[in-house]
Formats: sequence, structure tokens, C-alpha cells
Amino acid sequence: MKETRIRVVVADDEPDVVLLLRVQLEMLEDFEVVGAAATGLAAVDVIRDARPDAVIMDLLMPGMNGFEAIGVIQEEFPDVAIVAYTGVAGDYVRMEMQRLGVALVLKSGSPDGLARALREAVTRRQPS
Amino acid sequence: MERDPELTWLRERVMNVVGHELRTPASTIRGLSDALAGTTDPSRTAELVGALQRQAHRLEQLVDEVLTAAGVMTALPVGAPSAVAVEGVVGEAWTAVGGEPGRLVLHVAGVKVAARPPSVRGIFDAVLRNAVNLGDGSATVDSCRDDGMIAVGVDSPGPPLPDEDIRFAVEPFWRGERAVTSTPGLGLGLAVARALAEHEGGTLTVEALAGGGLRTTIGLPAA
Repeated sequence: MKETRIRVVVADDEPDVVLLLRVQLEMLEDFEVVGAAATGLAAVDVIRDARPDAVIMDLLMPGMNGFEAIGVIQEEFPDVAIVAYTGVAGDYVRMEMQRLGVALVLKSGSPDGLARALREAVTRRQPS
Repeated sequence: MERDPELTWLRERVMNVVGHELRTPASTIRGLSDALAGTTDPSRTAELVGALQRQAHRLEQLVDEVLTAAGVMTALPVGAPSAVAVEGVVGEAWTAVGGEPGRLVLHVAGVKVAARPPSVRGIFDAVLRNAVNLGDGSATVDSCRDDGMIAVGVDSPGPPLPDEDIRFAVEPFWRGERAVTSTPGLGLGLAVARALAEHEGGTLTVEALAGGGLRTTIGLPAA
């Protein structure tokens, strides 16, 4: 088992999506899912406890949504890389993520694309 | 060419709702089936199969919603109106949408409206489905008579709703803030219910319920 695994928190209100991401990331070996949350608020709490390298953030969630959670995470945990994960992204979402400097991955994409975005986001957060 | 703001707004709503509500189960099913093909662990297999079944069911429900809406919009119920007992229809609809027995309170004994029975049933199916899925799971139905019309009110308590959700609740493809994130659906239910009410010469309006939730008022000709 590699020592350099990327520790990930998954935030999505759909339990089946969380299961899928957990399975997909486990298959890739260099990731470890260390927590999951169904709301933006819960994601902040999980991140506080688990101190992951990255979070996969669904944008539409009850309570505190992904947009709001991203703001909080960037403020409180600037070392945690964020990848926004959404079913659809119109102009507003794309521009907003660009403004926040957050990578955006569509749920229709491949696991490889998500993994690549996570690795790149973590690398950007931890310059050597 | 300048775009019609109303059409642009509708396009964005359709894109958002269809994109999120249909794409999520479709993409999840594809991913789950790929993951299933790559696992040999029996317990993981069972988890993935369970998730696949749930997502397939969800997709099926969404397709049913589209077909129901398309059916109503393109082929409204025909035939002569008849006297329809509201209490009976509401009770049947409550059961059909999965409402818990004992959580429906009726104050409509003996109230009858003059309408086509499939329209009345379609209206209450949609309104009560909202109560079950988006409210606290209870509903209270009352009525009053005014100038040849019966106004049937359906109170579905729940969390307070943003003004925007109240204002656009009956617009097609509008999904309230809470609905978008909690319950599968395409935002067609109340739009269909309103179309059916208007087809019967009536109205359907919504307002915030004091204390949180929604009050839907269906006006139909008295029998």
C-alpha cells in the first residue's frame, strides 16, 4: 500500500453516489476515502475531524449547499483541495467555480477524469 | 437576436432540472455497473446491486412523471363532468402516493365538485404527493363554498419555504430549494395539477402556510 495516498472526503446527499465514489476511488489505489457527508455543513465537520487532502463536493445539497460549503472550507481549511462534482454545469456554475479556483467535474465523466482532477487539485494546494 | 427572457428562464430551469435529476441516476447507474463488473467481493456486489436497483427505480419514476405530464398536457380528460365526492378522491389519492394512514385529516364530508373524475384525481395525486415527499408527511384538507365554486384547501406543514419557491411553485420544471436536494422529481406535479384544474374551469393557487409548509387551494365548480 502506498504511503502517498490522497485522503478524500466525499460530500454528496445521494448515498448511492457516495458508495460509487468510494468504490471507484478504492479501485485506483492512490486514494483513501476517509469520510463522507450528506450536507455542506456536515462536510465542514467531517473535514475538521478527518483533515483530508481533498474533498469531492456535490453542489446541490440540503441545508448548506456546495457553493456555501466551498466558501467555508476555503476560509477555514485552505490546505484542503476541492473538486466540485455536479450533474450539470451551466454558465453560472462554471464561472463561479473558475472564480473560486475550484476544479469542476461532471458526474457523467469517467472515474479517471475525477481522479486526475483530484491529483491536480492536491498538487496545486501542496507546491513542492 | 435578443432572447425572450421568459424562454431563457424556462430553458435554464429545464436544463437544471433535467440535468440534475435525470443525469444523476443515469450517470450513477453507468458507474455502478462498471464498478460491479470490476468487483469479486460478494458483500460489495450486494451493495452495488442494491444501489443499482434504487437508481433504476428512481429513473423509472422520473420517466413516469414526464409521461404523466406529457399525457395530461396533450390529452386532457374528456367527457362530461360529473359530481365527484372530494373526500373519496382525496382518500384514494393519499393511499396512492404513499401517505401514512392517520396523517391525513379531512374536513370535506359531503363536499362534491362538478368535474371529470380523472382530472380531480390527477389534481389531488399531485398536491398530496408534494405533501408526502416535501412536507412533514401530513395533510389537512378543508373546503368552503363561494359563488358556485368549491375551494378545497390542502395544508401540508413543513419547513418554511423561500418566497421564490412559493411564487414559482406551479411553474413547470420549477423545483423548490428543498425539493432539488431531497426528493427525485422534475417539478411538473403542480403545473399538471393547475392545468387540470383550469381544464375543469377552476383554479389552483399556493401560498405559504403559517408556521411553515404550503397551502394549496383548488377551486372547482360546485356540484
